[in-house]
Amino acid sequence: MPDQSPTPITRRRVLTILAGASAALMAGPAQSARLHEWRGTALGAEARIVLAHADRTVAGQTLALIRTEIERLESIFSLYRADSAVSMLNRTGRLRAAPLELVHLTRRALAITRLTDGAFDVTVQPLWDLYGGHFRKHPSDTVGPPEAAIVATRKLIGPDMVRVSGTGIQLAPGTQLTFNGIAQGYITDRITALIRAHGWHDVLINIGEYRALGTHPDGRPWKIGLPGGVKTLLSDAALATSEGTATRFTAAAPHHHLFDPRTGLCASGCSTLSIVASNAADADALSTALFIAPPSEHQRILSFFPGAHRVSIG
Amino acid sequence: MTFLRTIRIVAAAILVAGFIVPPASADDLAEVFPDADKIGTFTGNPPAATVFTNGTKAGYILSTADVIGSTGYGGEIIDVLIGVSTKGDITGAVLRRHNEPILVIGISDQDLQKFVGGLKGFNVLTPATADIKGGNGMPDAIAGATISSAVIQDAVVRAARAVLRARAPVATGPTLRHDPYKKSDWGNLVAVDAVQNLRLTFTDITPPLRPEGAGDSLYIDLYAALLTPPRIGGNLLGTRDHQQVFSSLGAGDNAIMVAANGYYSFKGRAYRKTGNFERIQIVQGSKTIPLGRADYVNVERLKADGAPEFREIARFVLPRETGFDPVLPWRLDLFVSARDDAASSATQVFSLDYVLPDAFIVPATQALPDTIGEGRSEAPLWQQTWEQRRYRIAGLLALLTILTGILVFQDQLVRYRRFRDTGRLAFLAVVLVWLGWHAGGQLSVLQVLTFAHALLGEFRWEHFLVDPMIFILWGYVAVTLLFWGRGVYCGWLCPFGALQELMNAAARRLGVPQLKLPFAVHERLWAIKYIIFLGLFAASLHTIREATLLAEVEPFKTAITMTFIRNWPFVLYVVALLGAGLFIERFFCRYLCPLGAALAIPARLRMFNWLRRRHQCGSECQICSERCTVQAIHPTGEINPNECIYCLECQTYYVDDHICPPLVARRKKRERRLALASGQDIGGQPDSPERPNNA
Repeated sequence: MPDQSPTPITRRRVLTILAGASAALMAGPAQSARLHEWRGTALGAEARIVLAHADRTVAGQTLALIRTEIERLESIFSLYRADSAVSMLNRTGRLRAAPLELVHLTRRALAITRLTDGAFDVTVQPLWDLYGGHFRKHPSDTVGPPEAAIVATRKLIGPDMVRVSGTGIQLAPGTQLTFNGIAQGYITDRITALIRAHGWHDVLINIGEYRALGTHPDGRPWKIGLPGGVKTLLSDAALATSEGTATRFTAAAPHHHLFDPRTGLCASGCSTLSIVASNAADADALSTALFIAPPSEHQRILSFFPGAHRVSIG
Repeated sequence: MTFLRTIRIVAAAILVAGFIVPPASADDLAEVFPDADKIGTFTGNPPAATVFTNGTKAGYILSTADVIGSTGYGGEIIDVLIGVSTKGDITGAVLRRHNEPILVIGISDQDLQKFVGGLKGFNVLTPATADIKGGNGMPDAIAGATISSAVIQDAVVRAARAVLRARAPVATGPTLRHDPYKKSDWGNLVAVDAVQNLRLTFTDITPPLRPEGAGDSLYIDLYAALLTPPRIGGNLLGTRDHQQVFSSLGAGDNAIMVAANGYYSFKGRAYRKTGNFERIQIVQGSKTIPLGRADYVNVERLKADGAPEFREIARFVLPRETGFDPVLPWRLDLFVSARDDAASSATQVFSLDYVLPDAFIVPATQALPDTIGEGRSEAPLWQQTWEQRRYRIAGLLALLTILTGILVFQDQLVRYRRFRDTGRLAFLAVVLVWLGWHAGGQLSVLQVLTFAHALLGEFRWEHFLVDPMIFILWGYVAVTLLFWGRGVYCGWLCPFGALQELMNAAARRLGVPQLKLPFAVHERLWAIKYIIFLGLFAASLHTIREATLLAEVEPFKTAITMTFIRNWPFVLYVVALLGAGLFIERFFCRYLCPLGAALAIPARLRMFNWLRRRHQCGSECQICSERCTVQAIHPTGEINPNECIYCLECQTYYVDDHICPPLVARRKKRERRLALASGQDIGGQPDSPERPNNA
């Protein structure tokens, strides 16, 4: 049963990192590796990290490293933390010395906005606030916010509302950013790079989105289960899924979190969509963009992202 | 009864007055805690003022006298005002009051303040409390005043710990080790991981960031180092630059170096315009620390020997507010991105992980109350000094054992001519060179005065135990004084006495004529030393510091403790005394020495009189009184125990049947009888020429 309130996020995720060290690091054959698990929260969701390694100490150190890095990236991108860099940017409209992750991901997001003709946009946060505020006041409403309010809010949205210069980010008055459509993917990528740099080569990571390196301990590509029972193989690539129905504002109304920035309305079309791309940030953003963009546009958009393709649509 | 009580009350009042330390001046407070924004009042038990920096508690200011009633050698108060951070780092120290006898003259106040100021940066939570050899980040002890230096260090450490223990009973994390600068070349810095490296070639860069047709040539060869430790920063920047940089930084501020060669520039260009570096940042744990132009300085080249030329070198300050902890691992994140255009906004991030080598880290200490008191570090200072000086102590005990043997077997030994001629001189040479100049075993009348004062006041063995050499010597003197009189110390163990006797022996051998004062004059001159001693005692009743200044009449400090390395008036005085000693043996001992006078007074109590005399001494024969090296034998024959140095010279005559007239007479009688019995003259010359009574 879906949550009654729009915040905090109701979409439940299981963050999983399954990683096996390279043969060189392994103390023995794969069978001797034990699973080391940590459960907690990351990015406002339930998180699960599982590592396979024979040595408890090594696994423990890597887990600590991952947790610390997730915490650091959360302190930059999380909208649920008032002291995060994004929250401060939204509050003040300007950051002079933004963390480089925020600078680079903002640039990347703005680039993707242009490539997707605005289907993906990090400036949609005011729409979230509008819808969230509306349904908090009118829990039984099924229509959504008045059109005038939507038109007014749409004026705050668009890549031109954000200026990145050096390490400075400036927002037009009233404009707010949300990285919820790309940060999970970005964090997945950063964690992947981090643990690869620490000697782990065969890795499947799930922090919101999947990223696979190398192979399963059995030597085959990693197998990912998708919504609707579909399975897909993943090797040295990332996979992201968008489910519009996963986060609805109320049980009564059909309105969900995937807005079309160009209309200000909730996207309709498909209910779930998965994208494979070379990295998880791109996959994350594309899964959102293609959920919103008409299917006729999909091929054109995907052509900008080498190696990216759609694996399921329902 | 009432009179005694009055004296006691007056004495107590004097002592209490001595313990009152004036409140700290604003200058002193600023000196000992430069970063303080706000300083609380001195309250609590133990008393200390809490110091705040940027609104958070940064440490404490305290007075060692207030906290532990710190006392120096002999129990006189020593007060050092110190600032200590909550982590145990001394932020500054000012000596406010002391009466260290050894320190008053000869070592300037500047030397002393420099020594105390040198305690800054030392962490009081590191294991060893005081090391008289220096080290552990402590400044080197002041030459000639090692014990007083150790006393001050010990007071600082103990007082700071007492306050930290009472106020911050929490575990302290690892801290940066404050080792002094030591030269090291680039190769060594890299080998010990003080400088760490990340090397990327074009093959590490993935499309679209990788330019087409790029081979496997160097993309960037990146080096990073923590500059804060002098052993790293001093070598990379040069000691002068390093000192300059860090003298302008506060405690808790750090600096790092980033240097690189290759295709990719880690500096980029944006910082010139926007003020911040867009390609690098520091990450530590969950903290992200941006690097800005305000904290950046371009470095032309590195000063360490063998350092390569670099295309770019930067020094960044990481202010305390960033929360950067130098002992925890950190990394330099290098962002590689294409120009800001829509089609290729991809970014690759590389990390140079920097883990400070253990050699630069003081390991974490557990909660203070648990560990302190267990290890040797909390042992009383005197135990530490005894432990550290165990070889000297062993040497001294060996020397005293030999001397005791000489005293016990004196009747046998005096029969050997070699003992008289060379044995004693060899012993004195050891006393002068090893005990005096090397091991610091010179007693002084000041110790008599401080001891007397301690008896009047609060007597504690710890005050006297702190210098093991002096303590053992005094113990030995106390025993020999009761057994044989003061001569055992003066004649055998006083290094300055040994110096005089050895010089006089050399002078005689070179034919320097000896002056002999008429006994009546000589006897009256003896009184001078008693007057000097009484004068010193009287002065010490006023203040011990005054007595200490007047006690410069003793040449011991100049000649022995400081081995003549002193201002010329002192040296001139000693040279004059030694010069007089060439003509009148032990001139200083005879007429001036207040220590000898002080020892002579209780020497009346001696239990044994092993110096043997005959009834003819003084009446029929004057040989001993004439030849006594210090004229301690009255013409009437008796040996004056106040003046005797127990050299045993007269005892060698006593048993010599070629010198002592009664023995000579007896020998001649025997020889005559033998000659008569055999009817032969034994012929030849006598072994020793017989001398008339007045030689």
